[in-house]
Amino acid sequence: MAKLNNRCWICGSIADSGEHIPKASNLRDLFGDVNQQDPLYFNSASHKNKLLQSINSRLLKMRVICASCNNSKTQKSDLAWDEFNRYLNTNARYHGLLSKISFNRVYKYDSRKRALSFHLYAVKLFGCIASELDLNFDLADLSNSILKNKLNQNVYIGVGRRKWCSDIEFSGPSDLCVKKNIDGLVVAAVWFLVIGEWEFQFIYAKPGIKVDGLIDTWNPKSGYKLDLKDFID
Amino acid sequence: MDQITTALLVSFIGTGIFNLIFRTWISEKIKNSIKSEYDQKLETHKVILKSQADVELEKLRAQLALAGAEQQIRYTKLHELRAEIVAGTYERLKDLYIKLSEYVKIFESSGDLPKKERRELAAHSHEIFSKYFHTKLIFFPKDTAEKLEKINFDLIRVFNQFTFGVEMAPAIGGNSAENWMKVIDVINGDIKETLSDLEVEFRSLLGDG
Repeated sequence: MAKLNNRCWICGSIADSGEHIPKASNLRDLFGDVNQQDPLYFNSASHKNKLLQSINSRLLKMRVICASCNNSKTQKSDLAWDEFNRYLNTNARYHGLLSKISFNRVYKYDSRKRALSFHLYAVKLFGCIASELDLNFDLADLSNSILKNKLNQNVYIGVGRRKWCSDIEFSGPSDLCVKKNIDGLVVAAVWFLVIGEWEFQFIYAKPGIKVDGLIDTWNPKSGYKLDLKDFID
Repeated sequence: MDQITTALLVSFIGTGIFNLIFRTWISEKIKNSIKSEYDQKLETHKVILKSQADVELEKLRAQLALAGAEQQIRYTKLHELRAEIVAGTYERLKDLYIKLSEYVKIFESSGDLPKKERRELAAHSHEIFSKYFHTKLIFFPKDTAEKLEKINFDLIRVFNQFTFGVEMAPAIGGNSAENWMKVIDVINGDIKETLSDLEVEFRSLLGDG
């Protein structure tokens, strides 16, 4: 996809690193080793069953971030995301659709800090997608949250069990639904990400913009428990 | 402001980040089924975003209508207050004019109050008028306010001319008859004219013609 420039959306340096969507570790956890003998198949609007012999395929990456931001500045967020996913997978059988996930249980120590890091992973994804698609997002606000390690009040995460096409194992993001104001600035955005049997919902909503589903999505300002969602079918 | 501009324009864009990774080769049917599932979810959100934006827009419209109504009430109240002040000023001015005319009149009847009492009544009436209109000048257009100031000054002048030039003339040696005629001229001339002017302006302020 075409990008406005090749700058890192967080710090403005050359975007020399790639951000996976879904995350490479999620794909590894879900599919195991990926190689010539055991490849993956990539499908999109322009690719049909494209053979992937490695998770490091450029098709799975957005090149909108620099190595420093991708590695050091957002490393905690990546780890918090991984840990959250591991918790989901190892404890999945205990969670009914209406149950809550307490971050105290997900993260055994520094749970609040690490819950914030988990939240900042969603902030990072929104920033990457906005840059990748050249959307008029308030990127300064998103990058500020990452650089200052503080919550972003506009970004929410929802998690639920995938109930549809449950006999098929796959992973991938949906398209993005956005709402813009009169100046063309995105004021609300929604997209989904499937990772195996779990489905994540990411919502961006500027203050005052009501988006259905925010009630049971999570932002650190709403506390440190996350409701498992029963997504609208 | 952000809320207002948001509610004014809502647009939705489905952008192409949709992609899927499978372990096995998949059929177009499955891919489309998944795509359809995603689309359905996003469509739901799209409709909700749109409908909520419409609700916001309606709310804003209602708020604007309310603000308009409030503005109208504000103006209506201002008008009512102004009308009250115009009426109050006129009432006090007319009373002063009558009391002053009574005080300076040439022909007196047997039932009239003594001049001293009429002077006191005129002075008291002036005090009431002066106190009232000086605190209410802001409610009058500049021209009207200036006319009120002028008539107040003329009335004081007449009062003083009569007190000192007519009533006290015998004691201080002036021509009381001449002064008296001058006072009557002013009362029936300039002051009456200004009073008529003010009546026209007051009627105009009250919305008449």
